[in-house]
Amino acid sequence: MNIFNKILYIKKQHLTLWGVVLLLFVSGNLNAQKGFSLTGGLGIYELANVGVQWNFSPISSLSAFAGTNLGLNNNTAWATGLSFNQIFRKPENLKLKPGYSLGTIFWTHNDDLYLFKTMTFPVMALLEYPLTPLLKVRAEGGIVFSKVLQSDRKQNVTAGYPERFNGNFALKLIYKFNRNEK
Amino acid sequence: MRNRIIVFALLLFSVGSCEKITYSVDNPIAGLPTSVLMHMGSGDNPDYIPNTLAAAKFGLSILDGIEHDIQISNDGTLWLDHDNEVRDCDGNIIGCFQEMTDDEIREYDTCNDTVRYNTLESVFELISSEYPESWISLDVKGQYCEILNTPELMKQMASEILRLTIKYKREGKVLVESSSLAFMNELDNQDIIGQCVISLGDIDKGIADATATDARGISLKYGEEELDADVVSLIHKKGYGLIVWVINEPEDIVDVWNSKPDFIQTDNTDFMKYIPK
Repeated sequence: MNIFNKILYIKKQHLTLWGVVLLLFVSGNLNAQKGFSLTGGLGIYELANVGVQWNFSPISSLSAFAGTNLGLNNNTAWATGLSFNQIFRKPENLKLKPGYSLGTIFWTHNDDLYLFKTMTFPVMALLEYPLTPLLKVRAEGGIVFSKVLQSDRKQNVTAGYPERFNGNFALKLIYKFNRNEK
Repeated sequence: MRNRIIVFALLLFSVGSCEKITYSVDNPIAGLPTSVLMHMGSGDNPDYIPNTLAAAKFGLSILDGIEHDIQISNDGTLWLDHDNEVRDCDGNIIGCFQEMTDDEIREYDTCNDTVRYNTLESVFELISSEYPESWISLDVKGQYCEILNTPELMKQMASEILRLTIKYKREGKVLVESSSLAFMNELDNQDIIGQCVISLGDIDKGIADATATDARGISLKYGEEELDADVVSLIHKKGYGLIVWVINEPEDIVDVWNSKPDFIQTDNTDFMKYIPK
């Protein structure tokens, strides 16, 4: 890398950093944990998971999670993912609020037959219901598209492959750190 | 209480449905004695232009059959060629097969008294009259010049291959290789052509694609994943035949021959010299 490119690269890094900081200020959520929630749940692709959600506006949030199947069903599975979620405020008279979620999940499945590493892209409709002022439950259902990154067959007795298009369902509990947050 | 019941029901649903991984059911077939097909008709023989009638004559004269790439013209005729573009004698692109009529293509089919573009029908005529026991495998290329019409063109190609197969009584001796869903769907309800789905190396993806497209076999690019007799047995056990391409090096010829696939495609005109006795 020549010196000119180096300067450009450093400037680019600074710009990115300032962009993130600006985004945090604009969203008004830089104060400690003001806009953050803790999440935990179960899902077909998300597995048993915990994560964190950044509520950067009254209707929009970004979530990150990590999940495991806890070694059940004779296989070891891991998942990690990101999603963008929007919950609609209307209808106002109902506590149950609809919304949608778009995201990406990287998951692995390892058993005596195969090791699969797969990227999955869920498009989910969701319903959110407040159980208490701080705790909400969210049900998500939708479709996923999967792209296998790696498949290692460990035997020559049977053959399997992750579904390219599939249904997905997840349940999540969302605990808000800040009672005053809308 | 009602909420808890709903939550519990949803939990059960989430655990019990939508399996992420599908395992193919067994549907064993015996497999065929391995046949060797000359890739592009003439393989690496520099005396012939690949994918021509002359190349086909050469390949048929020394191996069990030939492989050709095919294109479709605006008149619905199938032509032999690897590329989607028709070129003049200087190599300039004149147009795409599917945009040009047969007469327009014929204007460019000969350079220096050497024919470069032949119809698939001419090869079927040759096989039918002189090599009735030989195989032909057709690599059905995507028609990318008119990408919006691709599914329709692929269906048209499938119908034309069926017509030629019946006309020249080649039932059971024609293979097609494609990754086009429209093409494969068009061949769903017939039993005269062996339709194979193309896999660029991942055998498990090949089996999954073959299941999804109701294919009879897998056309596998060699070298990405280990291939041995056990793997070929697994593919046969799942109900699919196997074409492996393109096997040229002597050590690969030995390895792949020993794995006993149904078909091997090669460019190597000395292929038979290397197969184990």
